[in-house]
Amino acid sequence: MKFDDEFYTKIINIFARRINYTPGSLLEEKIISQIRRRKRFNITKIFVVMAIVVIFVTVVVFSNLNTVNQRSIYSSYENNNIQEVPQKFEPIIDISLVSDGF
Amino acid sequence: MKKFFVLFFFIIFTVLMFSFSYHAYRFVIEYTKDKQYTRYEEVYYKDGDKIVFVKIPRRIIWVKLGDKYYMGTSDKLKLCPPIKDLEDIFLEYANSHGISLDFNGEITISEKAFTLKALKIDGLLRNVIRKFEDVITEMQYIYTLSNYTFNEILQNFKFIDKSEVPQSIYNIFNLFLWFNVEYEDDVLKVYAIDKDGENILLEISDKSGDYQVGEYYLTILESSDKTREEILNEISSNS
Repeated sequence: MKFDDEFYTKIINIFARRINYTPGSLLEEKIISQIRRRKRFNITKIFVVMAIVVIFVTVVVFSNLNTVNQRSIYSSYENNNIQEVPQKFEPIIDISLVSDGF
Repeated sequence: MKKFFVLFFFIIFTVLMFSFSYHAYRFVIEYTKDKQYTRYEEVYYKDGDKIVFVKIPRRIIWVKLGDKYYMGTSDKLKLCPPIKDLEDIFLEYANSHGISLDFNGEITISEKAFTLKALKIDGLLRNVIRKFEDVITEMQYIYTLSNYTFNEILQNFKFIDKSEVPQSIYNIFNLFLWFNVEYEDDVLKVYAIDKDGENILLEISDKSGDYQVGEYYLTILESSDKTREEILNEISSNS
């Protein structure tokens, strides 16, 4: 009986030491720094992903902007530059440019 | 004498109280399905009269003085037909619907061919938007103070009460909601939308055409019967 008590106490102590293991200060520092590094790596990863997304969106938006025709109001103005407009017609063209309707 | 002074100060007070003027920069942006057009202008406004310096797409100055309109590219401005910007169009349709202009916030007016939406904050129009099919025209205001008054700007111009183009041609344009022009093969092509939203195509030439209007010749290539009749009435009443 006494033998059993001693035996079980030893086993419990061994398990208790394993379960309640506290590392030394050097090892603790090493483990914490590893965890920090892992966290830092995650933040970097997020930044990298975000940067890629931002670059991608910017490229898409700007490529779309370039395809939008940044021209003056009313297509007539651009076309007028192709053939020189006689002075006779200029007032009508000017009115079509500055007026928004009737 | 006392009565005279009271009346004098009352008139001065009333004039100052109800006088309305502003100086603003305006952006007009027109979006179509795949294109975007812009106009940029500076406006001096005083009690219904306007001096507008269009800067983009082309430097043009137009002035509204009472019922008269003048336009030009220098300090000499010639008589021209009424020019309506989105602000005038909104005010006209608001008046025709009996809508009070003393509002704060957003107002939408629905017409047969288009809708108009205006936003007014603190008594000043901030934007006016017109939607016609897939064409959206938007006028944005940026109000700023100016070193010059309306009258100081006005006195720089010389107004010539003579129009270069016959009035009846201008009257034809008044039949449309709006129009665009293209000069091709020595002919001015006028693409317009009439007040029922129908397409119009006219050709104005100084050499030949179906109808003579002063020194110009007009040919109607596309139009509804109703608008064709109105155009012909306009030509015949002025010839």
